[in-house]
Amino acid sequence: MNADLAQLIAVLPHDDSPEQELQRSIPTGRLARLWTLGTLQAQIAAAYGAMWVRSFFGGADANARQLVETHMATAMRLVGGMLYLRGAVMKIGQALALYPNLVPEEIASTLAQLHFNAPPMHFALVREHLCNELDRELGEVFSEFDEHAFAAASLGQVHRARLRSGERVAVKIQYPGIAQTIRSDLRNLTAVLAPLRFTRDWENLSAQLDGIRDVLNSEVDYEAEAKSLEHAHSLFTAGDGVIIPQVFRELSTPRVLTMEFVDGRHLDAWLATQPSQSERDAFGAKLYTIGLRMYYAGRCAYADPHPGNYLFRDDGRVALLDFGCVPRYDDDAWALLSEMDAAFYRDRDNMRSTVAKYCDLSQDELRDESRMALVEESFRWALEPLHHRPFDFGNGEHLRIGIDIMARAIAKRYTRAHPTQFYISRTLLGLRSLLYKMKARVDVREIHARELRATGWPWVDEIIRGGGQL
Amino acid sequence: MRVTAETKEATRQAILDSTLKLLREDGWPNVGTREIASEAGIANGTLFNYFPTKEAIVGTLVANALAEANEAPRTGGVDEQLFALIASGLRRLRPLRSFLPFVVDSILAHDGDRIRQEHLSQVDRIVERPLTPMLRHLYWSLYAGVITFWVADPSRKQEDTLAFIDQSVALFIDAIRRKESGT
Ligand SMILES: Nc1ncnc2c1ncn2[C@@H]1O[C@H](COP(=O)(O)OP(=O)(O)OP(=O)(O)O)[C@@H](O)[C@H]1O
Ligand SMILES: [Mg+2]
Repeated sequence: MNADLAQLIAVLPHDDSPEQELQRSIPTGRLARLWTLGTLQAQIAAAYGAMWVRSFFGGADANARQLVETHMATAMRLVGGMLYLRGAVMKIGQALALYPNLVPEEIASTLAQLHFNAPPMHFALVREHLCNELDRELGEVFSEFDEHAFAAASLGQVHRARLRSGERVAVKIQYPGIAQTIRSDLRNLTAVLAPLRFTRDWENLSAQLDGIRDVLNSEVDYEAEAKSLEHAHSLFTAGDGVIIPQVFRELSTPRVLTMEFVDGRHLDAWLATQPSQSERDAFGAKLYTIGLRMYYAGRCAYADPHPGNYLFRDDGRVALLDFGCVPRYDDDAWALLSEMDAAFYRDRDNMRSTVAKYCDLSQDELRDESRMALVEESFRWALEPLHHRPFDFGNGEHLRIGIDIMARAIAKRYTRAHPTQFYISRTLLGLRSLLYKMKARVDVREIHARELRATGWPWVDEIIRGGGQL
Repeated sequence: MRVTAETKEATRQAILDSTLKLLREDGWPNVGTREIASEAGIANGTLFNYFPTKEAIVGTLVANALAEANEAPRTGGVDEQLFALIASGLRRLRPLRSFLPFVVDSILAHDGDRIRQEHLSQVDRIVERPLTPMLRHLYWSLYAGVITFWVADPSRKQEDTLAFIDQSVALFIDAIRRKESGT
């Protein structure tokens, strides 16, 4: 090896560098590793490989070149991997942190913290990226722009700013190129799961995966998020005490989301003020209303009920921030979900056939008593809060049972389900986990009755009047 | 004498302007020195007194664009300043981007001396220390990698290039640190 080459290799990051240590200590497993396969890094490595070899080691022997190429590729993987891992790690972290009983406490709290730890984009990058995205100089749009981000987002960061027209805004900016990387990695997901292709459940599983992929794909598209924000905005009135930030569409792109800035405290900060029971209950009722309003009136799910997405305000209103993960139901899905609802509240006799249709179960599976018992149990769990007025979510037992049911279904591999189910379970369990952390008591029955009416389903009034199961 | 120097400079500029205009209108393969000379209103032979090849003319256009970027004021940390130096260079090069793929290699490898020296002196100023030949080479390779990537970057608004610059600058700063701490 010539001296130059040795020197060169010495200044490049090595496999055992501290950054890599850091990466290894984050327990994310297969999905996160998948994320590092991003196409951008491959392109970068290729571009560099060519440049290096041509320009510096043109005369060196083949082995030396090979070595340089290897080191360059390693270096690029390292640099690229660190940045691109971030989004995936945080997404997974938040998902797991919502299920405190499924993962050990230390891991859950570490993962929950990751939410606030994203490495920053410096202002030079932010400015260049924003100018490209908005096709204007920053000064033409903003009268003030805070150069330092005030919050991390899973795929980028959020800056405070003021428009020339005077409004205070939050500008959420996505790290450039990350959307494509995630998209192409999602495409690889199917390849990774290919060995499962010949199992009976494959068709159902891949339909579910497609559903998840659709949502993740729209999660990286801030224009889709802007649409969800506007949709949600239209579902609430001033009396609800719920703030959904207004979007500035002309200043939003697939990578930039400009919206009204909202003040308030995150869950932990709010809990630290030691709110009274009646304050907890009032916020709890609003959170519950949000979930059902979006479902029944909005035909969508607020499927990322992560604590960082709510702001608790001194004026008693709650603000809802993050609309990246809001699956919407088309007419077919909604027809099926309505049938489920009817079975759920009213025709318990039809439950089996409805569940069979929804989960695409075979006759054998339908006759499997332990399976149907678990379905029955999960229905009872979902309905339990309706039987207490108010229901005390602060009692951890209810949440524990819900998680236990889910864990048993997973352990028994009862994985067949409708593509909508993954996010519906996540919404339900996430919301109840949040209400548990808030120690809120909520009159769930009253909220259900009110929100169900918005559907116009004929059986709703009947049941409410007749004091039926609802 | 003065008049001659001025005339010379004006001719030179006319050649540069004509080249840019023709290349943008007609594309790289359809523009030759003959077309450029006629657009600039000079004899074909006269053009060669100024530039030996079409590539050399474009090399000068590139060098001029980058020289403007070198003058832009910069603030912030070393990483930000390096990022801004590279990004503002690409911004100036944008009008030339469509035909850069045909010349980028030769500009960076052979005709790049002026570009290279001027750019590296900016880097020296930003990092506030003299760089070893090895670090200079590392920087230039990264920089050349960025430009090569950018001219062919198919991503939306060439956003991947921004990520690429950001990561390359981090790699370079990390290399300086390693060099200085002797690991
Ligand atoms: N309109 C807003 N007003 C005030 N703060 C905001 C606003 N939007 C976002 N934020 C702040 O930025 C943080 C991250 O925003 P958001 O949750 O939308 O990002 P995200 O990319 O969806 O991240 P994650 O997936 O990690 O939740 C919020 O927790 C909040 O602190
Ligand atoms: Mg969020």
